[in-house]
Amino acid sequence: MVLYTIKRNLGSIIIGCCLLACNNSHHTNEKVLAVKIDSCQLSLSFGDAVMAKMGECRYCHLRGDVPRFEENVPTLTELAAMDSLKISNFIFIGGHSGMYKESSSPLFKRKLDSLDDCEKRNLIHFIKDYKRSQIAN
Amino acid sequence: MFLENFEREILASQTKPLSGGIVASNLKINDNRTGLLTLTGDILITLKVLDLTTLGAFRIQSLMKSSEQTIMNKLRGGADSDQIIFYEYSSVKNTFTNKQRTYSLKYNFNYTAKLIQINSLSQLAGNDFVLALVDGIGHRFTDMYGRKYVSGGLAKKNGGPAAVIYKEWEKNYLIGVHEFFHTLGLPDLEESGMENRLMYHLGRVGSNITNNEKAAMNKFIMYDLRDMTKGSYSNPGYNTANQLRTFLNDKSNGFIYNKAKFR
Repeated sequence: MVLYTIKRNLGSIIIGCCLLACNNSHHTNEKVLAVKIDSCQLSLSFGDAVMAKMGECRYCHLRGDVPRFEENVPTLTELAAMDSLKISNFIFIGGHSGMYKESSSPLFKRKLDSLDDCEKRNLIHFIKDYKRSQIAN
Repeated sequence: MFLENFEREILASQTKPLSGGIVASNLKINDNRTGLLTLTGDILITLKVLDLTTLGAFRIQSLMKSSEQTIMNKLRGGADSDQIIFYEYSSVKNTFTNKQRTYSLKYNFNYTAKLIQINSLSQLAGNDFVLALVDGIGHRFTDMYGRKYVSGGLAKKNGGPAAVIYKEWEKNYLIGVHEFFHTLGLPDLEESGMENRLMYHLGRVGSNITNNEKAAMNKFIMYDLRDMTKGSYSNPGYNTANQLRTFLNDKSNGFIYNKAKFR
């Protein structure tokens, strides 16, 4: 009986030690994760305002349901059909290069440079909407 | 023979008065030569209202009158656009050249709005705007904060049809104006602090319209500036009756209406 009690106590001590060891190992491996909070909210009204601020793209990139402005100028619906990266390249890297003559180019470049990352994302979000259902509440 | 008929048709279309959702006349561009273009003219906006309710829309005339007045008031008063890059305007030739130029733009149109009740699809032209009155809308939407809402009205932006639950329109006629302004290209607003704006749509609708929103609607109405040089203008066809049919039959919109009235 005494032997049985000793065995049970020893068993409990061993299990307790194991649990403690597990807990300790958990604590030593704990990592602190730094989560970057994205404060940029995507909204169509904000994207609309960015487009107006840029010089109103819609004077040349007309909607898809009306006659296009010029043969080489994509409509908004055509732009919206591109993936976001392509739209971004079109606006901010290659698409407009050479299209603006000397007189307008500095202004356009200044407007482009003035946009922060969130404004750029909202602008693209707004353009992409032309390919969505266009349903609004 | 075919050519003669074609010629006759063209001549007839030239003498036919302009019609549609947007009819503009006396269009003029005033260039102050320091980079400001002022656009003037008379613009009539017509919205056709189709009652598809089961029990009938008894207050339709007074609601149409209030909406008409509000649409007119919101569009009037002029709007300034941000600086734009476009082609240079030659006032001597009344045309835009191929040379690029930066302009500030002032919209100064004299707007009139007209709401007309129609009883059948045959009264809808391809380039008309339409507002359908329905019994209910099953469509639910989620706002930018992840909260769910029911819809009092629904519209297809940029020239498409609009619909409003008649009971909701009776409670607040501005819901109909809100939906129609989607047709004129305005997006919804959800940001806090914008509760007093007409395009706010989370549980309430305000009444304010900003200069930028006014400019955006003017931009939609006169979408190609080169049309200003023609003197008069009416909007292109949106295939309105077909768009309305697709819009109402789309199950995801969940419209409840009297199908017998849709003829």
